[in-house]
Amino acid sequence: MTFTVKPFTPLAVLSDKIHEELLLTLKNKPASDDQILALLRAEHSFERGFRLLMSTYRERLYWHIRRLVLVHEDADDVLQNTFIKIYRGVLQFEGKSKLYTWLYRIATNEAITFLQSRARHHAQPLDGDPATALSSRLRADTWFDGDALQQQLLEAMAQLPEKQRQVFNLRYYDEMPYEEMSGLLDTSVGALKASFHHAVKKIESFFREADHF
Amino acid sequence: MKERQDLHDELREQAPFLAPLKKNGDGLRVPEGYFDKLEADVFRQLDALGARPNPAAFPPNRRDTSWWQALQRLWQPRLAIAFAGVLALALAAWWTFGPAPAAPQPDLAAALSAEDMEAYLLDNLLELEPEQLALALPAEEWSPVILDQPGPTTPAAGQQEIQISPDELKNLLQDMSDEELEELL
Repeated sequence: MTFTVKPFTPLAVLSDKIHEELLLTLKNKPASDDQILALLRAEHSFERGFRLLMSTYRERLYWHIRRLVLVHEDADDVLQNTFIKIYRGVLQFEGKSKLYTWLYRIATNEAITFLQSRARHHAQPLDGDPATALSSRLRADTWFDGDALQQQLLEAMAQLPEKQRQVFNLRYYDEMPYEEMSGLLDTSVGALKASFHHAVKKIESFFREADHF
Repeated sequence: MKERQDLHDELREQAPFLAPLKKNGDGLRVPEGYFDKLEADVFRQLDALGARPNPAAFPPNRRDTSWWQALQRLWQPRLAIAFAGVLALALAAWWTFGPAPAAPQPDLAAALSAEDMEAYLLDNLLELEPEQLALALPAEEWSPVILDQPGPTTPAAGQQEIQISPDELKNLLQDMSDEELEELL
């Protein structure tokens, strides 16, 4: 007589054979969160799971961070710190939210911590005001080749409050549906729509002051 | 596709100037091959930090779990609810389609006439036990025979109490023929 025991956490327990089958599957298809977590939750396949997590989410997380910090070198530092935090904490991920939601929050916190740290640094009188400092850093960034309007838009976004900035990025660049964004930011759809509306009005006002109309 | 149209409508309504800007992207780029070398950079940092997951943090392997842990995993609320549901359905099915209660049996003694019962008893006299005969007959009809002689007597069905003196017995024997005596003995 054989029993099939289904664990509370479906990914918690997997045999070696299933791991091997999983790896074969992953060679041909994009990895799902379940597949990544299954590898992460066994000691002998943890590193493979983490590499798979990085290859699956690195670009998405990079662009989220890059639009917050704007400069590539800063985004690179923040992304690497994000992955180190993920490496250390992924075994505590309980699966109560989507994996990307958990990763996105870690990346956002890292980026905000970085921006706050830089803002404190630029608060010194010799460094000038933060907006000017950001503008000059963006112009100096080799990995920005946008025109004046694109630079203006990025600078306008940098002036937005943190939450409005996240909502604007997700909606304007990632074209994320409000329902999905609601789960990601733990905010109601109505509040997100209001945030986007306010962000757009502030950017419009920024452009008016810069006399682009 | 629908979401893109929704966003386009939203932008056109709220900020017409932003819609054309979107076509050209944001002007941000990454160095060629950046994402490919990112993995190596992260692992280099992890090695430098000596960061390794704590083995105790991994969930236990199924092979290491006891039968009690396996049972606990099996005993989930949804399974208990499913089991209760199946039990309730089984009881309902038994109540609906189960065997009907036995109909009351007619009273045979009442259905038989006295003559039928007497004929049955006479036909099966040898097979019946005295106790069964005693139950079938009224008490006044099976009183034990009491003779004027010592020792216990065994009551027999159908016998009536006959009291006879030794002189009467002697006369009775004298009146009997030889054949009758042989038959009696």
